[in-house]
Amino acid sequence: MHRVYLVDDDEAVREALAFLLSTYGITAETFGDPQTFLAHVDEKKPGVLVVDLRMPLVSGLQLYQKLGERGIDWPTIMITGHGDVAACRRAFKAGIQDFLTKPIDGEVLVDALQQGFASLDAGLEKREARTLLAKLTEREREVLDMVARGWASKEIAASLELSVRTIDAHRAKIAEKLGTSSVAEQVRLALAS
Amino acid sequence: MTSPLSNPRLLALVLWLAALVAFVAASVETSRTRLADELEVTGRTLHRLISQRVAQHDAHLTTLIALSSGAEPAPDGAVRQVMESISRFYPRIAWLALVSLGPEGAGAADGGAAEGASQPAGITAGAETEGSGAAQPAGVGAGSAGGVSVREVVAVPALGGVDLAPLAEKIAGQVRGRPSVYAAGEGRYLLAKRAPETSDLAVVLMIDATKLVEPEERPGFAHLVLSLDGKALVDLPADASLGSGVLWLKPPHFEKVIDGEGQRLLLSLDRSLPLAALVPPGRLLGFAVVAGLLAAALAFGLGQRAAVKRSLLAAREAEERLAVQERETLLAHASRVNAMGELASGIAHELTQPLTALLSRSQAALRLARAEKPDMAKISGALDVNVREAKRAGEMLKRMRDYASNKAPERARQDLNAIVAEVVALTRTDLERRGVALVLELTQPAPEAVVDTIEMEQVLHNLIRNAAEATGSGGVVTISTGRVGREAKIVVSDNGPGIAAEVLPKLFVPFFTTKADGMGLGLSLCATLVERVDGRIAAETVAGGGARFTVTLPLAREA
Repeated sequence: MHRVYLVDDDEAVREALAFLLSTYGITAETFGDPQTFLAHVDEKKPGVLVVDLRMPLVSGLQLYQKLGERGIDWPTIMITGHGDVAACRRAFKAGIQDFLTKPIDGEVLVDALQQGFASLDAGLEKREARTLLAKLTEREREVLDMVARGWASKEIAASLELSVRTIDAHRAKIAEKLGTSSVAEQVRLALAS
Repeated sequence: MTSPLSNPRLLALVLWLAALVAFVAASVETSRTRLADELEVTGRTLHRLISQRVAQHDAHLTTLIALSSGAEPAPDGAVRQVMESISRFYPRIAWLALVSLGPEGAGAADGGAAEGASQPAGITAGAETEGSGAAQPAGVGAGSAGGVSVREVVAVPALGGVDLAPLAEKIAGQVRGRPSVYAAGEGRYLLAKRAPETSDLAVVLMIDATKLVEPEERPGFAHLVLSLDGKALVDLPADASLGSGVLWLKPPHFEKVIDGEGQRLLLSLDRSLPLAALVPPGRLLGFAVVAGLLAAALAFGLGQRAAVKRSLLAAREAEERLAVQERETLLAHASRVNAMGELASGIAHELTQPLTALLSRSQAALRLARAEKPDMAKISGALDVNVREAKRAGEMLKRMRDYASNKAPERARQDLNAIVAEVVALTRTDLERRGVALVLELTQPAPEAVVDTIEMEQVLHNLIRNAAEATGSGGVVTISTGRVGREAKIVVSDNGPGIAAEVLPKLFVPFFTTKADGMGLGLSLCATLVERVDGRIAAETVAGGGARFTVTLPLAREA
């Protein structure tokens, strides 16, 4: 179940977008101003952000940057009432997922959200893979990379001038650390990092 | 309006007086000419009459001399008869005498004979003797002087004569056939003529000059003088009733010599010019009345014209005032349209919000409606909200349209808090974009004033925009409403740098601006719009910085 966080100062817009998303089975958590969201973001699980670009005191872009400073890099969709090219460019440079102008078509928003979800998932996998791969020793990582290239244990042993038995012992260790004995799964993790 | 003559009454009075002066001048001139002409005519007539009469004297002399010289001795009887006849017909000939001039002795011898016929006249006639010039005592009846004696031969009337002795020598010295004149006093003169050739006879006439002018011929209006050798024989003054003359005019004068065979008489006539004759009072009065009426009519006409002019002027002023108001209204509109440009992006955002909500909710409702089991409660709920939302958008559009509209100002009792709220709705997004916070302090119950909503919104919008420009990002603009006495106040203040002291007095002057791209019309227009509804606007810098603009309006009377 993916999460959506909607930050817009206009209550009607907020409420209508949440209602629209609900018909797609997407639950959106709404916030009337960026400060409230910032105050509670640490308790929240990762999700896709939908943020109004222009809000009093703290703009959508400023919110995005503040989140980045805190290491939160959730996919963010900027919405705005102005098709302001300069603001759009700044937003994409800052790493925004998507930029939509109001009024927003439901399908377009949902498409953007799906992409957000995907990139959120990708981000999660990458982080997971990195965590798992970090457990491996240097030799084990070396062996895994060769496995990913499709080499057999004998070829790896020859290449590293080790016995086949030693290589098999490393591979058993790798399967244990990565939590999977499936070669295909191990390769996916190696490539995701 | 600069000349006092623009006053029609004064102008008429001046014209009237000028007409009177002109009338008097013209009247004097024509009268003077007429009186002088009259005098001239009278003078010529008199001159002619007197000349004829004088000429007759000579004729008588000639007749008598001819009669007496025709025979020797003189036919005394016939001469006397003619003399008596002349004396009877011509009363002005007071005395006629036929005298005989002789040497000294003869005269003295005859003197006794003549004495019986002639009476001493009591007249002493001075005569100058040639050479010595000494006066000699005159004899009576007949006498002699300078060696010449004179004897009266015939005298008519016998007792009316004068002693000719003093004149004897002069008469004897006369050229024969030519008469000579001698003064005789009391307006009389003597006319003597010697008989021609060797005769020692002479005829003497005594003329009463006063009778040369018949009483009915005497001109009453003139002073008549008939003089002989510079001595007045006749002096007839003019009738006193005509009055004295006018000083500055030369009175008409007539003078002509009557040259009747030795009788050199000078006729002179003088006429005084009395004012009454020059300017007849009746005519003057008549003219004054007529001219006065004309002047009064002129004054009335001019007054009417001035009144028409004034009313035209008033009408034109009213028209101009109206035109000015129309221009101000146009300017106000142009200024609002201009401001719309600035507000446009904010207003677009303002409209985008309800549109976004509408679109999203409509799509959601559509999806619900197309589901296998449509949740009608949810759908109708969504549509309800949509209706509200669409109305909200419609209001915003109306607000925009009204603000940019060009309709004639319409003054009515208005809630000032509501006007502030409208302006805030229009400008909120603009202020957010500028990063300026807006604080409202609206008094309750809301003050009411008779204003045009749009124009008052425009005034406040101008003030709010100026304030926002002054403070820049991070500033605070405060709008408050309140009541003081019978007046309502709307105050727009900011926490910007305030207004420089030297700028303050010129703030509401048209085309004065401190902005690089400003026209300098905003605040002057504000002042105009506020003053139109009997209000006023004031600016000040508050202690601690920041500008404060106060719009004061008369509170609407309680309904």
